[in-house]
Amino acid sequence: MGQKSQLKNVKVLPFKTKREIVTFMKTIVAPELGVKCNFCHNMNDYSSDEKDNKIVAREMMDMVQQSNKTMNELNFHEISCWVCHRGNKHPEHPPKEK
Amino acid sequence: MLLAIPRYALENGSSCILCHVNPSGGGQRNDYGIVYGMDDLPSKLPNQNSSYSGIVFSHIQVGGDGRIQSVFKTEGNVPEDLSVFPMQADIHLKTDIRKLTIGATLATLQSDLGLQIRINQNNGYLMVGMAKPSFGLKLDDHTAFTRGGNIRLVQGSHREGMPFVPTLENTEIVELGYYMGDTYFSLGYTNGFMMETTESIHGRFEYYRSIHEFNTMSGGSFLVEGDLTLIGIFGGISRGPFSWMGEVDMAENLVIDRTIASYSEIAWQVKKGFTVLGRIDFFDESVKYTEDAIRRTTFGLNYVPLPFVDIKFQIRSTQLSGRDSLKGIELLSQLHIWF
Repeated sequence: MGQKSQLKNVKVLPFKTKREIVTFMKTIVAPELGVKCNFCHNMNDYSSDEKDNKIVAREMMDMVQQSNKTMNELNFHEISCWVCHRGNKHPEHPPKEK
Repeated sequence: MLLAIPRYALENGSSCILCHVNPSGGGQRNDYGIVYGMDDLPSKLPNQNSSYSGIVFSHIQVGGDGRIQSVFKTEGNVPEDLSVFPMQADIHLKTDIRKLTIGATLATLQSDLGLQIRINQNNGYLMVGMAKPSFGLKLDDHTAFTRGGNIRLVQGSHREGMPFVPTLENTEIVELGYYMGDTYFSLGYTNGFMMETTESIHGRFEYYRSIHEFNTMSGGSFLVEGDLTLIGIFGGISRGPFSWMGEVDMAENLVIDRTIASYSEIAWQVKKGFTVLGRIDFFDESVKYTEDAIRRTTFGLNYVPLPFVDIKFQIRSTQLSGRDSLKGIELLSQLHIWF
């Protein structure tokens, strides 16, 4: 009871409980992008993928996780959204288009 | 009457649905609200509760609210009355089935059942069921003059507060709502809320904006039922541990002609779990007469020692407009437990 949190539509994040996800979103993602929950989420249903920003966010988180595998192998500090976003929705210096 | 703490919405720069299942606030909390209640409100977080994320049986989430209050009253220096009474004992259930959110609340003390079926579509919803229409800030104090006001009249007026008394029951309701970025609109119809003989329509909008370190909230609402028309505006601003919130409501034909109620609260979160606040409530039963207005000044402390436990202490004094005489001092304490 209470431990059986049902995680719905969690595909990339490694967390096991809703509490871990909410804490991560509240303390890392929202402040490092300078956004509120409704930037990515449908407030009626947080698990819904209907907002494009959530799809992009998921790809970004996957990218950060892949990057951190390399950072760990090299014994470097892990990175987070802040490295590029610096508190902005869109990085000031986005990668050049190929 | 479902109660909420809109100051938390203001401090988070987001609508009530951030924490509550009900889009206009109050009652059962969603996943974010449960975690917010654990991590952000209490002065101490016990380790054994650290993985709690709500009571969930299969696909049904269970919640609850319980409030007990005591009021000690003096008339001048003479102790007049001490009363201790339960205010609220509500059980909430919620389940999500595809695009449907079904919520039920049993208010055991009032024997009143609320049931809402919400069809969610993109950022909007259509809700049908048994509920109370949303008007103004749904404060966690039904004695605020913008809510139900004084149940035992201080001044002997016809009313000392707006008509949202705790004894109002849920009624058949249809409501449409929509979120557009930081703006929330809703429009609804009930089959008679206060009078039961006349349909009512109601609507509200809220707008939340964060500017640098400031969070702001502004909004308005209306409710029309027969001859009775209620219109109100509300707003607030917060920065760090400080916040101000206010509301002004106007009613036509509530008593005789035009009635005005207002609410203004300043809060300071001294440290996590401790908030001190000062509040002024004002109510004028009829703007044509100057002798029937009352003002209540409140100083209070909110203490959240543990997750899901909220303790309030308040000292309140009521004064009649244009006179120096105080109508007694009230000492109020309240224990609120939720999950």
